[in-house]
Amino acid sequence: MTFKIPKTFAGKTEEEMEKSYYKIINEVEKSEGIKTSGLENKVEPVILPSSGNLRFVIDENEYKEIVKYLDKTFSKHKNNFSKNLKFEDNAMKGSSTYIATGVDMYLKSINSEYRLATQLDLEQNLNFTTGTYNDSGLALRNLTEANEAQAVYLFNQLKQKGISEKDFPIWFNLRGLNLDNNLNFNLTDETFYSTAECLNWENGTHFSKINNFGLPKEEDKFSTRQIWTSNNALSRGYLYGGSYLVSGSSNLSGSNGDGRVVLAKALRA
Amino acid sequence: MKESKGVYLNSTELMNLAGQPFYMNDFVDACLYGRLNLFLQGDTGSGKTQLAKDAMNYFSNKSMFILGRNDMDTRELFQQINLEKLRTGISSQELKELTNKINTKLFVVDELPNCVPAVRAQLFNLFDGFIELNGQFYPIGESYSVGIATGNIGQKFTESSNDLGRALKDRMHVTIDTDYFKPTVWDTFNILSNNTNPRVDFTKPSENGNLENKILTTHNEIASTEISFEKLVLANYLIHGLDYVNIEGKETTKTKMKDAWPNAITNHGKGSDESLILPVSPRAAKSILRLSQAFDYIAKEKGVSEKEIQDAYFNSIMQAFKFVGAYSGILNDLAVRENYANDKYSALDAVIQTTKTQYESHIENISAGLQMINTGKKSKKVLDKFNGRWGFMRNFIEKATEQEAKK
Repeated sequence: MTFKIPKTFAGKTEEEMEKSYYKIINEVEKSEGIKTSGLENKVEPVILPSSGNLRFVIDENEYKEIVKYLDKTFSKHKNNFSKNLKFEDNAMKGSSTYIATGVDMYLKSINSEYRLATQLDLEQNLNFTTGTYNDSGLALRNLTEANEAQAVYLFNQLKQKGISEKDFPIWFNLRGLNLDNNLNFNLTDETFYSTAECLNWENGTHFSKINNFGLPKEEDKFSTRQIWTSNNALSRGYLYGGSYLVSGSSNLSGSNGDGRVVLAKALRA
Repeated sequence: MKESKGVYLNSTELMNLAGQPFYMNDFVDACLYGRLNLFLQGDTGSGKTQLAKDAMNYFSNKSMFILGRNDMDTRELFQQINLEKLRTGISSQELKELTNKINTKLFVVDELPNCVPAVRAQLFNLFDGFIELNGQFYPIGESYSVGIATGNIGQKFTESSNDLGRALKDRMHVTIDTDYFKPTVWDTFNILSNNTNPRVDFTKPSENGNLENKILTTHNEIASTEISFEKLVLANYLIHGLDYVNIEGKETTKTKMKDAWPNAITNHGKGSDESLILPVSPRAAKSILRLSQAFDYIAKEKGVSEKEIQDAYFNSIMQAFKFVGAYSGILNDLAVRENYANDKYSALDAVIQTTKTQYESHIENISAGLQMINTGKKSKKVLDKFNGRWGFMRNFIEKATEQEAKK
């Protein structure tokens, strides 16, 4: 290197630089902390059956139909869809923003009485999803940070409906969104979205009460439930372990064996 | 520095740095301090020749005025610079001795576009401190030489299809549209009431007399001053960040798109700076950094404190970007015409505004990245903060951390 790496930057002191570093490190460690706090150990080896209006994909034939639909609809992106899914222990395992949206599109295409569970649906029975994570929404916070291109694409549609950046942050239910071949999200007549101030709360804020679309309503320092936030332009939104609402990840395609797509009888849009 | 140091008078502000206005004269000074070739584009009679002429006074007998004519050949040009022997078949050693004797520091070429390409090429070489003969390069005089050229070739001169446009983009570092920053009404009242001679005044000396030593000393100081890391980040953003483009979810670069830019950009990109501006070249980035350093020096001369100058680094480098970039061919002319009333400077202002938003939203992440480098331990969490048009910083931070760890 022909230049020195500075100890300070843009008016920040060494101490502030250190804070910036640990802010990011801790932010992520807290998220990882969810896993290390024992939730992984609570994953039942046998998948829970459907519970009331909520259910997982537990029929292998249904799983095969879903894979067939996803492969056909998103033929260029199999790595983001079918290759992240498997049928094991009598349930479809794997979930991401893209997969959950794609499954909802499939259910709509066959006029199923089930659709992808919304965050409000998930909140009705938190025990049902204990030990898994379940994608339910998208958080739009700005147009400049991570996933900015997809954020701008989505926002351009909102602008036509009179929504402006002043209305940020905005929550979208994945149910009712239409994903295109370029992995951009398109609004449909069914899409639910709303300003949700909680998406800009400090990362790790505790809450207990939810609002009428299933998001944290107010801070509750004594609750064990927490919301995880970030400054990404567009983040995935998922319920983790039946308790934590994660709205800070920019990885819309990430999926692992703890992921379950949750279906609900479509009573609400 | 004032609005006028010679005959040319213009109190229109071109920019403001740390509370100090910068006028046309300051820009000439900045280019001389930075040793940056300056092209003054403007209509006939706008005062550009007078401005260049005033600069000649700084160098006393070490400046040369050349009037560009289409019947001038290289022989005549060499005669003007006392190199007529070049045509008589002398040895390389003799040539070297001859060229070494040339001690001209500033070449002013009036109406440069009138010159034929062969003469033009030699003039650019002189600006850069050498002449080229039979494929050999011979440095002239001492280390410092610079050029100021004037001309009126309209808006199309930066087009790549135009030979002159390409040459100007390659060899002139800063271009200023003198029509855009024409003298104020107050100035013209003063100019007209003092003197009704419409000719360029070659007689009045500079108020400050011979400034050669000052300019050379300042140039050496500017050239050897360390560039702040903040400026390096911003210059790299102009090279790499502005190159980033996302088409239908696929990340690529404008450089790779070549002629497909900007037409292939659809959706949101169409309305953003992705389709408005190309990245700057590493060479242009050097000019931007050098001009910015010269701005800082002039601001200091105007009484601004070191601390205030350091704090104004963003504005300093962005103003330099504006004046290096506006006529360098990086703007999408159609978009400038449609969205900015054909005003290149306004288009650049819009790009600068976007850059400001981008930069400010990444200061925290860059700080964390630098801290990571200093610890010598890679963190994926920190690296993941840099994506899209900031992906270049991820590469830098990752590499720098590896190097730090080896120490």
